[in-house]
Amino acid sequence: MEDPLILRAKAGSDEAFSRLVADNQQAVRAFLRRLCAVPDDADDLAQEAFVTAWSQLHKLRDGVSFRTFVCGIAYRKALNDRRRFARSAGRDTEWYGLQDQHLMSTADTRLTVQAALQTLPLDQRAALSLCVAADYSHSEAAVILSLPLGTIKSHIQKGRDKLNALLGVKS
Amino acid sequence: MSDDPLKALLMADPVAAVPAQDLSFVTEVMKRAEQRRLIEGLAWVALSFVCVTAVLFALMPYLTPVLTDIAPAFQPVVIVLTIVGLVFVALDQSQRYFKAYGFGL
Repeated sequence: MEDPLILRAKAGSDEAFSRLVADNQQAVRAFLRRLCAVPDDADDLAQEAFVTAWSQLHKLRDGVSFRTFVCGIAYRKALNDRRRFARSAGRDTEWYGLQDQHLMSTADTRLTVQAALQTLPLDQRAALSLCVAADYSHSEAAVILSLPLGTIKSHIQKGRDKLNALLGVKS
Repeated sequence: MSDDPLKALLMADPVAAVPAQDLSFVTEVMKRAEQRRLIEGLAWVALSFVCVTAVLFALMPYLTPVLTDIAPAFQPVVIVLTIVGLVFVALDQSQRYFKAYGFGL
């Protein structure tokens, strides 16, 4: 049975849709912030994804959560806009490389994590963001990324291996 | 607690930390949705106007003699029907907004 909030949103209720946005914005934005090097780009993309979801709510199938639906839209937008993301990643990696490394404390580990994530192809980065950082199941990630289940598992394994090597994490 | 060190690193990344409640984000999304609704509405109105104008332009050579031949008594009826039709269309389009403010039609 479909969520009554989604049913009301499909019927045109702005209040119901704003509740859906409020309930799911954290997960969607966190996913996108791991895809994009710049948080502002990620939040902008998240807003566009929610607006597109609003106009395409009729396409939301039974059994698919609203969060999964929006993340799928957001991922497709990220794919279409990957040139902008590549420029942002290059800018930040270049900035990071100019920093005096011995002055960087452990507090700057976040830049290392972000820089390491940006070295992964977008699909691997997305699979890791969903299944490792965010507890989505492999089948949910397959729906979001429109990829076969086997490909998702392969991306996660390859992404893990690369990140573990870059970050010095013992697997 | 998970013993996956990579998971712990990713989850601890403050760049991906987003507040659970963010009213400004929700407001911005709804604002963009309303803007898109307005633009789509205007696009439909413009398209309808162009189509009706094109149809009238094509039909006017045939309609004009008919209209001028209509007995003067029928002209008020035509005007009233036109006004009723326009009011009906306006009410139909506004129905959603009335519902949002609690007025059922």
